[in-house]
Amino acid sequence: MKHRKRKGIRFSAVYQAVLLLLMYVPIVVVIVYSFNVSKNTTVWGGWTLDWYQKMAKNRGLLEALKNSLILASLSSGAAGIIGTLGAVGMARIQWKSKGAIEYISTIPIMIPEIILGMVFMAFFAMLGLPFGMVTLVLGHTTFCVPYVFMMVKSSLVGIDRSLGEAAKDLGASERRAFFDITLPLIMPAVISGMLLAFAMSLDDVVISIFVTGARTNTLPIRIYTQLKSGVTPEINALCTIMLAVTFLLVVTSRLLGSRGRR
Amino acid sequence: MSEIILDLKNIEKSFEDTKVLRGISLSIERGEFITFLGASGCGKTTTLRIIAGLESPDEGRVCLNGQDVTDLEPNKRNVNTVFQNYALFPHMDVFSNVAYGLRLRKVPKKEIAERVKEMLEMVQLSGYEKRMPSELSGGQRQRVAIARAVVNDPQVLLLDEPLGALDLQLRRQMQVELKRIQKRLGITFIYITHDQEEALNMSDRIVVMQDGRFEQIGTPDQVYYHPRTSYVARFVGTANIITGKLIQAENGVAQILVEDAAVGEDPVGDAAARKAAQALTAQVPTAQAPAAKGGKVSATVTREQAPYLRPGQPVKVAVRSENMLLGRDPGEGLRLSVIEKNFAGGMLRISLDGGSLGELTASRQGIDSSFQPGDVVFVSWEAEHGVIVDLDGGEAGPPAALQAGDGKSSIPA
Amino acid sequence: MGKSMKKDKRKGAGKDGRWWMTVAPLYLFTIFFVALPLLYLFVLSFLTRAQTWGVVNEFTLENYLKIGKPVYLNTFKESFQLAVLTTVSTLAIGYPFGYFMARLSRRAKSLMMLLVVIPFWTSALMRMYGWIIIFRSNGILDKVLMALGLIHSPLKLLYSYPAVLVGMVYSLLPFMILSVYSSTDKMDWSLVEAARDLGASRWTAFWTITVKMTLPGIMSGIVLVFIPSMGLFFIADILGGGKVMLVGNLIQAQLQSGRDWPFAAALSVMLMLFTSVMIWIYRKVAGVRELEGLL
Repeated sequence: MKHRKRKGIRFSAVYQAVLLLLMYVPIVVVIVYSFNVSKNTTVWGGWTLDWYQKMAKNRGLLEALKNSLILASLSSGAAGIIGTLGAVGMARIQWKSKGAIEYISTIPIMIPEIILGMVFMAFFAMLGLPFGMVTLVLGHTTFCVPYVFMMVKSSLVGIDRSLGEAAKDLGASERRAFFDITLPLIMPAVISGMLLAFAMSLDDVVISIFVTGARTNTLPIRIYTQLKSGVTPEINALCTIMLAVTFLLVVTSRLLGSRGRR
Repeated sequence: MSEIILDLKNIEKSFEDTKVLRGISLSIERGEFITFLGASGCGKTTTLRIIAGLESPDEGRVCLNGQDVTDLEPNKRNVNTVFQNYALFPHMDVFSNVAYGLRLRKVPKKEIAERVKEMLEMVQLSGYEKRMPSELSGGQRQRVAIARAVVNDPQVLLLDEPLGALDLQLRRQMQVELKRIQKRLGITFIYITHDQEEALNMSDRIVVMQDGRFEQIGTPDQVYYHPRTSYVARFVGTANIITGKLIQAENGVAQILVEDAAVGEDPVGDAAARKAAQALTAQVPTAQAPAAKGGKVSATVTREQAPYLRPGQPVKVAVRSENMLLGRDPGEGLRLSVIEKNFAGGMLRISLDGGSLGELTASRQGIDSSFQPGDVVFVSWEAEHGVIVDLDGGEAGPPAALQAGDGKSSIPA
Repeated sequence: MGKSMKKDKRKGAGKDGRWWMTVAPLYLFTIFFVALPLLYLFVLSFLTRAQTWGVVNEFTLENYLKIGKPVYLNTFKESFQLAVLTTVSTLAIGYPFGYFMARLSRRAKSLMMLLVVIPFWTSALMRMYGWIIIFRSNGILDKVLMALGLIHSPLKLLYSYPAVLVGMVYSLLPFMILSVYSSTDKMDWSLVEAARDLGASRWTAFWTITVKMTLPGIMSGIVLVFIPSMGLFFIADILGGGKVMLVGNLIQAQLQSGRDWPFAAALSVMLMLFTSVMIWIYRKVAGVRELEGLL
């Protein structure tokens, strides 16, 4: 029995290692080729940092990066406020519409993205909103809210109700108890929800394609169009930098998440 | 010791369709250690939460120090609570936890530091200021919770099963410590527990609760030795309830005839046959039961009970298991048979077949090998150990006129 | 305790009064930017397409009838096939992974979690781009295989059905892994031990206990993989080079080149209906409201 169990663990380790390797191969490939001298990805021409320099001078690319960062910050910020307040409030109110609103608010991450893109395109066109940053932020906020909302909601469940009661018992008003006790305790969830939302927004192509205007390029849109026409290794360089940023975001979010759960 | 600090007046409370409190009233004196004792769901926690202001009653008033606080938010009452699970703020260290209430009251920093230090000394946690709650043991958390509540100088301290999560040894130790703290501070403690040992050990007065009502209010002695109802008798220690008919009550002693308290006719029948007979008895108690032999037992009558007793009326007598006297010689007592013996915790428990009285229990110190399962024994007790209970019509009856109130008048005649 | 947890009605009313302000943004946002747009989509699907641009407010069923045309039905069929294939593959690959992950030590678990989540958070485009580099003619895969002597001429994998399938499985695998993991992690392993103790073989114990107990995770994984795989048009676009047409691509084509919005709306409504049915079935079978391992 013991012997067999050992063998099982060994097989599982190999399986996990191979699968992880496969998951990371495409990412590593992109990174490695960002240092490739040759412009053509079928040829390896030696190491260089040229593409990073070129990228730093590529106005269009930097503009797209800037737009993406603004978009992600605004929509994850808006979602942070709407989602956190919403989750906190929902836990206290007893309205009948509560369940329905909660359900509808999570629809954006339940349905295929393309539908959401289509819906916004048609809806904003009907409203006559000019396509651009405003429509992008609105569109992205809808799918960012559920991430924050769900994270905060589940962290609220983990908070002992008697903590708030204890604060009130010790003389805190309802508002004071919220700011002293509840908010600090859900903060890790708020931040990790917002980071997730930020990453999702930064990464989004599908919805962006439908709701962006002719003059507002985001990074994923730019990469997408280039992938269909022709890619320069500058994109690799940019992707590598983005990966580093994402990596930091994930690690931070995870650390916060595990601290919040403790 | 005679000033009323807390007054509950006819409190009623329902959750949805369930009545949790059915009109309870109680006056508590300054400096008193009072315990609400009852099984889970009896309404004791709700009572506490109403006093704290975490719930509001449907009916009735709560008066604190002469002031009606029924509609006051919990933060406006000079009452603090030690929560069942301690409810220490996990993101604050011990110092901040204890200082929280003082900071809210905008007490000067220096004074906060002093008072917290003093408080931590009292609960023997000096030097733990910078620890987080997650780094403390259960007993330490418990003491932080007490310090956090007591540091605010409340008029009343509410404790909701504060020792429930601790192991037996620590619980005993904390019982002593809590009592010590209470004596030293002179604060009124309202303590909730389902553990009768805790209640008997610490309280000045015990309130036994059941189904949203007060079954009995009295000193530990009164509750233990003179239970008013069969519920109290059974809940506070193991007591046997024996039903019979009153023959007479004179000079504080009642003679009671138990008509249906005998088992088989044959004193030494084989166990299997007896078991079968028992099974039958259980199914059809009266028709199939062997001929009953009447037994005469006795009980104490208190001065308050005497006027309510009429010869011939049915009465219930509570007898603690350790007071049941077992003998082999036919006498006045009940003739019962031994079902089984059980030795645990230094006590021998002997289960007796009480016929329609149900199973009765007698207990003895040490191992006693003189009775074996199947033996017929004669059971009796000293009159002073028999207590007449449920005189006002059973467990679920309305609170009796006698022995109600503050419970201080039920001293035996 | 349970009873006292319930809200007191009298006090509750007063408390609600103050908290409405916190939920107001969520309510407004959800109503105006989720509910209304979805409602508009529904309405739009019954309107008539204008000759040049936009829509005419004329009721028609034409858009739905159009879906019945063999060309479009075929797209639905192909989309469905690919989605099923993707889901089955992710389940086959992801289940063991999630299962093994749940059996790791606590530390290893959180590390593994991190490793699984990072690709999930990385730009999907970037990862697709990685596959392009690998799959492309004379690309990395061809070179490696040729160097090993397994093939002699380039495979021409890029812009093919297998490439799209790989891309789909690859991007959706984390959903399956995390779903399976979260339900396996919650499982009471003593049940398996009990089954073994009662004489079940390892396989019997696995099929009768483990699979049953992790069913909510499996179902949730299936839903989380299946639904997006119907609509991930850009993977089909980039790795399939226009050779693979999914419902997503069809909608996109209607919106951007065809400019037939009502038809695109009708397609979307159908897709949503489909999605809702999937989720409904999931809830019936798994008996839970929320999808497992979503976050």
